[in-house]
Amino acid sequence: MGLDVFDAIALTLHANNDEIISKTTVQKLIYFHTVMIPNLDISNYIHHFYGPFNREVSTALADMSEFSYVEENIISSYYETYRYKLTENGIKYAETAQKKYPKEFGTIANTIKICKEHCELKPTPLSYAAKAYYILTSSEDGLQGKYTARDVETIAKDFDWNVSADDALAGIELLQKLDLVSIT
Amino acid sequence: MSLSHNYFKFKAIRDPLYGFIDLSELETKIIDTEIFRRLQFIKQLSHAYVVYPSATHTRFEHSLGTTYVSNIMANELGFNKQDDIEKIRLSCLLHDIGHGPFSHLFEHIMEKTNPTIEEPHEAISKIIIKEDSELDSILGSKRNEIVELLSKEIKSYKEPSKSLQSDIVSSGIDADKLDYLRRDSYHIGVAYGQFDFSRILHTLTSTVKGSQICVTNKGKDSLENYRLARYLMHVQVYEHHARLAADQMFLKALEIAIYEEKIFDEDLFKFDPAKTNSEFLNFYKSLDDFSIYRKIIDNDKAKTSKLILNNIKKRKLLKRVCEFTPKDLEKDADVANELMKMKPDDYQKIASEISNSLGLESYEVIFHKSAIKNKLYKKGELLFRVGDDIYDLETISPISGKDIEKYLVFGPIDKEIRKKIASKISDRFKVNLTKIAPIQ
Repeated sequence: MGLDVFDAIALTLHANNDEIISKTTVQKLIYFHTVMIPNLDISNYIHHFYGPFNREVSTALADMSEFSYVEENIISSYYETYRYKLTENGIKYAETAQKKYPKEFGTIANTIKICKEHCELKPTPLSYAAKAYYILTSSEDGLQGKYTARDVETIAKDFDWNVSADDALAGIELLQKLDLVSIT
Repeated sequence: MSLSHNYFKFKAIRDPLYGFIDLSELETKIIDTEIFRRLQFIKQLSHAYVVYPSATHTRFEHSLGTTYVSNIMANELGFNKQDDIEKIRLSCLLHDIGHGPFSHLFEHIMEKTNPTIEEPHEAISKIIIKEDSELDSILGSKRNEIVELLSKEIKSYKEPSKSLQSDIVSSGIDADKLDYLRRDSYHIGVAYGQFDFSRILHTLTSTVKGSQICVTNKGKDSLENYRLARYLMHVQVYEHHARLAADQMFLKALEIAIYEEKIFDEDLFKFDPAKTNSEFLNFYKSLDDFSIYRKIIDNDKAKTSKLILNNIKKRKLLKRVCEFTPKDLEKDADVANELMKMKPDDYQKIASEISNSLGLESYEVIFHKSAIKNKLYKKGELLFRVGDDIYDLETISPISGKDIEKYLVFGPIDKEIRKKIASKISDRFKVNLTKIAPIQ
């Protein structure tokens, strides 16, 4: 049996000093984890207005807040941005999960380190990378897996997403650092 | 095929919300099939009639209403080919065809009996549309298009027009919700489900690529009105505690009838989407709200299940012992972890554990999680359009809504017994009893 969605959330927060700002950041980081961790037991991400989205992650994050594993504080009501911080019980939960899944925690911590260096875990750049990856893996456009940033910009419109070629390029650079794509 | 004005006017049916609902000849044939007429005996709101006596309207009239609304939506969104409109209308007409007795309650049984099948209700709809011989002779090749539109598997980026059609059938703003909120509200006599229906329809549009439903800037307040109506209907009607008690009692009776008293052969509830399912289909067609009660009550083998169903009929319902939210738990990581990860079968185990410890029958205690998922308050669910730009209603709304989850415990009428159950719950889950509403 592998990690469940609660484990993934707890370990993601734990790998970043027990807190992450923005629901979107949590969503997109776990999107990358699902690609990199084979035994992460989470349903597929689906197309959504804000990029690849997983309802299970959203519900579990709300549940963890309700059950006091995670403290949810609003830091910008205008942008509806929340800070998610593991509580004392949440840290204990994460430590238990870390002992149970040390290798997976290593992958999660490494992903977060790379994303942090790339964009300080800001949701918008992570979102561009997630959208780019979703496009590269979902689109059936005859490009045989070889895309330019301009291709991503064009195909994004089919998904009702606004991603400029520059945004796409920045996203693809992050994907390369995460070893999810290669640039030739 | 271009639109013929009279095609959808073969028959007109009176409706309390819309005056008349016009149907085509083909649709008229569909509603007269045995499988569709069955919906006339499946109440829209399950056991809500124990609280709201006039909540006895059925899936039948809701299906007709959804068809009516879908036609308006299709027109507003610019679909003008008869084939497209017919496909949308038929999908809406048949969107509830897979429902079993007491709708969502029966889904629990289907999920339990068919654990490998995701969303059995959807799979049953497909089986019915594809395999029912009466429907087959009427729909012919149209069946596959309807199944596709009902399947929610259309990728918006591949087929934007089909995706938009699918949004009419199922999305944040779909014909289903636009009909049932007002219909339920009308029939039970509460005003909570009312919203500015005309304004939403009048401002309907699509995203730039034409793949998703949204409204224009002028419609955004009516969307706010609509999602609040949905929330209030959930709180006041769909999750009313007495209705939940009756629903859960029925579910318990059904489980006892199937798995313990063996009134039904469990295999009759099994189906396989990859094969033909004629035996299953024949059995399923015979089930509705009334027949399932009769099949159990009239069976000589029925003892406990019969007792429970007769209690519901006499409105001798289990009474609320207590309700609590995760916030009422005293800080205990193990308890929180256990409760957070519990599945419906685990709730039954808890109920049995408590009933056993108090020498009660297992059906005398119900432990239930009530969840109002405020889906329409989630980011990106309801969109509006200004020029070519699309905005999320959630980002400009002054009202935010989070999911509401609570645990309800029901027990016998005897107040002293319920106090003992409350005490067991308090010990078991380390719930602060002072935060629980007193037993009445």
